[in-house]
Order: sequence, then structure tokens, then C-alpha cells
Amino acid sequence: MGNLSRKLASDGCVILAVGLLGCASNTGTSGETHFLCGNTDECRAHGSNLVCAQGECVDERSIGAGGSGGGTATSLEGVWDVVGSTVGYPSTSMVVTLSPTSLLIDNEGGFLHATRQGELWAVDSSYTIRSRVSDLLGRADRHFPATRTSPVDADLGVIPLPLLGDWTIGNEQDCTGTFGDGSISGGCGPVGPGPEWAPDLDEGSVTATRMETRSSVFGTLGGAWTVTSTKGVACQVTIHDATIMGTCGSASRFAGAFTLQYDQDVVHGSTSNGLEFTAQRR
Amino acid sequence: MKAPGTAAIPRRGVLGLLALGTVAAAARSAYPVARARPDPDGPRLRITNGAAPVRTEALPALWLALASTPPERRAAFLDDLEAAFVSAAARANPLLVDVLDLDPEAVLDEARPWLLPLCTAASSLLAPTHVSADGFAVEVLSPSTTPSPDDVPAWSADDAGPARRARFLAWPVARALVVRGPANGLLGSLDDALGRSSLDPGGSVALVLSAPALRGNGDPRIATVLRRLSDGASRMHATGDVLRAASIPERGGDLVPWIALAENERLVVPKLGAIAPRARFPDEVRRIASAHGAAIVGGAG
Repeated sequence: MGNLSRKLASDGCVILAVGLLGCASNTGTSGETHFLCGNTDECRAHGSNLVCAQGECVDERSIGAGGSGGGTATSLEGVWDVVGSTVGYPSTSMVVTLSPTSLLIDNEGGFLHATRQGELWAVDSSYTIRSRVSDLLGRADRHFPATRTSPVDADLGVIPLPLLGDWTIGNEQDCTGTFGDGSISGGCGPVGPGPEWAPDLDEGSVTATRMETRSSVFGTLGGAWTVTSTKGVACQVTIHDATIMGTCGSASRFAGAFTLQYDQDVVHGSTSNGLEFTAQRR
Repeated sequence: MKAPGTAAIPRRGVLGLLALGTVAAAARSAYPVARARPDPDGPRLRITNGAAPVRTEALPALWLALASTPPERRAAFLDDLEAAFVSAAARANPLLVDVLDLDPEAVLDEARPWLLPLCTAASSLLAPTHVSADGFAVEVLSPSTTPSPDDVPAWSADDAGPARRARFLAWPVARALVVRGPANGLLGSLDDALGRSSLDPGGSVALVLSAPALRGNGDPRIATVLRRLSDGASRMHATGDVLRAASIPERGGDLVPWIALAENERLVVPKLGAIAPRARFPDEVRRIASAHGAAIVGGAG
């Protein structure tokens, strides 16, 4: 029974991981169809059907289908309240802010703030980590740059962040990655433990390969994906229409099935292990 | 549905009042007080922007979840857990032989797919306050609290601005429904149908709560097994999560002060993952209720 509470506590974070998985997919990709703008004339140079809305060029046909909280039904941009499962406590909450120039995640146990200037992102984070020696919980406060090189032009649908391309996170000895059209990969050197909810990338790597394409509000991410990591994660993920669903093998702590659905001003999901979350745009 | 009485005992009362509270609760259980007509807008929520309070109180979430669980599934789960306790005790005693090789942790793990959504709904339903990471907090008011014009009616159709956010954070309160069955009180088939939804991964129902359950009265085996779970966790120096989840309510208490149910009514709470799309939960409950001679009589459905 000794590990029970620790397991429950860590599992409580998994739902946040699932939520963030959606956000990570959201944040990890976007193409150069998302031009920043001050007025519509600036957008017309990139396409006759583009207009300037909330600082970003968008297809004028998408205007009018707006949400209620600062974003539109065709974009995840906005401020989101998220509630998710924990064990032994009421459902926990976090606030996620998404825009073409920022990703801000705040919860009761920490935060991750990433703000963009050109292709350079400044990342501030504070999160709970578990010591591999003592198994005790501690806190990591980290500040590092993330730089995108070789931007890739692709349609990422509702995802507002322009992140497709090659990445260096920290320095080149820390983490590097590639968000491509049809494949995503990344790996890290000896960076130490990451957040409890995240896949372990300390001296490891993860690869996602699109096996077939599907239509999706997530643009080019639509399709059937195979995800593997050097730390034992093996998942099959399908992104179709507004739904992300998948299953992960039993060898990792992400074992089981999950679904995530985007429905204009709401994102909700659950796992086969009973974890749930719902996010509502303000 | 009747509005709660004003003599509710504060759930986080001062220790010195516990004895008095016990007597008062017992008296209320034996002689139900007269209650006023309900407010169709439901309980009131109060937005309080400030520092997040430290949540240290023990919420009998697992007890409430199990009290809501259909009897057959509950009995099977408690049987498995008790057998696992016996097995673990045998392993720990060099004079005994463990022939079962069961582990309480494994039993809980196996139950997680159906039990965790119920616990999530139960712990959030029992929480007096819901706090966002940016300090936005929502307090669920008991009927005895002096009203303020800024209070948010939990079941109102108006859904914009801070009120919308407050209702989202206090989702078990704002999305709960009250279902009234036939006046003769025979709700067995309704309970069975709603219970099946709570155990179905595709169902939207989490909790189906009767008036006795909301007063801490339920299958006595639940308390017996949870005491053993709590004792075992204590001996193994488990942290507070298990101990909090395994706490047992005071019999005759008032677990959810903002609601008082008639004997032929049920408080039905959705799963967190089923509060969207918005119509999913009320549509399912309405369909089940109408098939069993019942109807939704309260809530934002």
C-alpha cells in the first residue's frame, strides 16, 4: 500500500498530461498561414480571402463563427479554464492562454510561460519533479530559450501557434526537435527529470510518424500516427475531424486509451483509467 | 425537492461544537424539519477573488462514490477489497500462509476505470470552494448564508461573463439535476438505469444520490472497509491522499448543505468528462427518467 498514495498522486497529474497532450499538439504546430497583422491590408498580401482578426490573418469565411471568450470557433486562441481529475481532492483546475505569440499554463502546482519574439521563445517554468534517489517530490524552476529554425509552411487548422520547423530548446546539448508535416521527433541530453505529467525525455527521444492522413480541424496533423519513445512509450493516435483518440501500450504509465474532443468553446476528454478533463474558453 | 433547512451544521465546524453537532444531526435525522419551496435557480455561488485557501479538509469522497454505486458492483468491489486485506495481512504474518495473493492496491487499480469518475464527481460535489489557478474562487453557499446581489444562481440559464466561469468551476453543483420518481417511492428501476450509466464508460452519469446518502447513511460495509483501507494506509505511511479519500462521513450529517431531497428524489451528478457537449447529460437523464416514470424537477437541464 506504500506506493498507493504516490501512484494516485501521480495519476492525478496524468489527466493534466492528457490535457496538455492536446495542448502540446496544439502548441507544437502551426504553419506560416498564420501571419501576424495590424490590419487587413497586410493580410491581403498573403491571400485575397484573408482578413486581420485579433492580430492574425484568418480566412474571412471563418469570421462570424466566433466563440464567446476572445477566440473563434476556428481557433483555439483564447483563455481556457481547465478542470481535471485528481484523487482525494476535488477536481483541480488550470488556466491555459493560447495566442500566436504566447502559451501560458498556470495551475496550482506550477506554471509554464512561453512567449514569442520572432522565432525565439522565452520559456519560464516551475513544476514538481520526483527525485530518482529518494522518490521525494521537489520543485524545479527553469528558464530557457527555445528557437525555431527552418520554419515549415503548413496548415494547422485551429492551432494558433506557428511552431512547425526545427527546434533547439536550451542549448544544443539540451533538447532538439523537428515538427514536420507528417513526422514529429525530439530528444534530450542529460537534462534531468521533467514534469511528472510529461514523458521522460531525459537522455531519451520520442518519434511520431503519420501513417495515413485524415481530414481534421487540426489541419495537417489529421491522420493516424504511431508514437514511440526510447523510454517505452508506444501509442497509436488518430486525429480525425475535431477528435484526437488513441491507445498506448502497457509498458508505460500512459497505458490505456484516451479521447480528446474540441467543440468550439469546449475541449473535453477522458482516459480508460477513469481520468477526465474539460476545458471551457472564457 | 425541498430547500434545505437552516439548521445545517457547518461541515468544517469548530471541534468544540462536534458533540452538539452530533446531537443536532441525530435530531434532524429523526425529525425532519419543515423546509421551504426550492429556488428554481438552484443554490447560490459566490465569487471570491483572493488567495486560494489550503484544502486540508477530509472529504468523504470515496464513501459517497461507493454509496452511489449500484449495489451489486459495490458488493463485488468491497468483497475484493476485504479479501485483499486478508491476503495482505496473511503475507505480513510469518505464522500464516497467503493463499489468495491479492493486493488492495491492485484492487483499487482495477476499479479505477469506473470508480475514479465517481470519486472525481463526489470530491468536487463535497468541496465547499472551487479555486482557479489565478485566484478566481467560487464558494457554494448554504441556504443559511445571507444573500448578496452579486451571488450567482447555479442553475440559471444566463451563462455569460464571470457567472459562466463560476458555474464551470463549480460544475457538480451547476450541472447537477434533481430527478423525481413516482410518489410511492419505488425508484428501484430508475436507480438501476441511472446506475448502469454511471458504470458505463460511455454514460454521462456519475452519482445517483438519495436523501439518506446525503445524510451520511449508507451500506455499513462501506465504512467498515474504508476504515481498514485508512488503517492500512496509515501503517504504510501513505501520504494524505488516501487518508482523505477514505474518510467516513458523520451519520445524520449534511454532506451537501445546499440541497434537501424528498424520499422519491435523486440528485444526479454528471461525470466531469460528460459536462460537454452541454445537452449530453440532461438528455441522457431525461431519457432514462421518462422511461421509468420520473422527471427532471431541478437543475439547469
